[in-house]
Amino acid sequence: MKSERGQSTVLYAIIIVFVLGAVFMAITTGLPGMKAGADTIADAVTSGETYVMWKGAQTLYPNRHAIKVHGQDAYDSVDCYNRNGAFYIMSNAYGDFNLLCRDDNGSVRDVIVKRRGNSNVFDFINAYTPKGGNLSRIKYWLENTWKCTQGSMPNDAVIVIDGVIP
Amino acid sequence: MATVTPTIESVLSVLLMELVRGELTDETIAAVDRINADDAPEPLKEVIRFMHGMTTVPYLRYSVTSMLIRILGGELAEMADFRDQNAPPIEYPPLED
Repeated sequence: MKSERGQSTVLYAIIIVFVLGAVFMAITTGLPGMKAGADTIADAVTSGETYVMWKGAQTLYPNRHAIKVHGQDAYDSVDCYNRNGAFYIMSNAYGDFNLLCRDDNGSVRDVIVKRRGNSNVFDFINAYTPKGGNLSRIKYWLENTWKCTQGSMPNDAVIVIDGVIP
Repeated sequence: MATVTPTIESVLSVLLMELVRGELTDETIAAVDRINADDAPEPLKEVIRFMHGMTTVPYLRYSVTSMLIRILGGELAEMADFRDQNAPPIEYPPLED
């Protein structure tokens, strides 16, 4: 009798472990952003840099000219920003802000906006994938050519596209 | 690298002249729209890629032209660095008294 009770206790324990494992797997597979987030943190840790996630309240779309000429890259870049936000922002003294977004395939895309003076209003300039989407090449390019350093966007930023607030 | 055809060459010549003058026209933007960036010489590829995606609203023309000048300058500086790093040894002529 005693050993039967012991066996059922062991059986219950095994079932509980399996149930907990199944619940854990269901939770982790149900959060697709978890891996991307972990990857971003891993990148930050390995590179020794601080990455700041930023995404405004607006959903963006490409400007008219971008759609007309090479829509796909513009759509992909804006879509990347809309889904993932900017993981790194670089700006210069002229009010040029580069919102860098990492796409699902690892490619880095750039949404470029220009600040109107010291206001919270920014004009959408461009959205594309410069320098083959390679982060180190893009950073080198922005630092040396655009004279950019790490920047930050105001939380209440308003982005204007072709003169219109989306 | 692909051969630069006369048409591309003429469009890019006008583009370069307009950039150094700081006055980019709608006609040149439209002409550049028809060029594949991969067909252009290396220092101009990024300039063309940027132009294909940039806004063309008139009130931002001055700003985007400045950005293009900056990109062109950076690409040319990179080209100069590459040339210096891969330069053949200079064969100096003998010094004359």
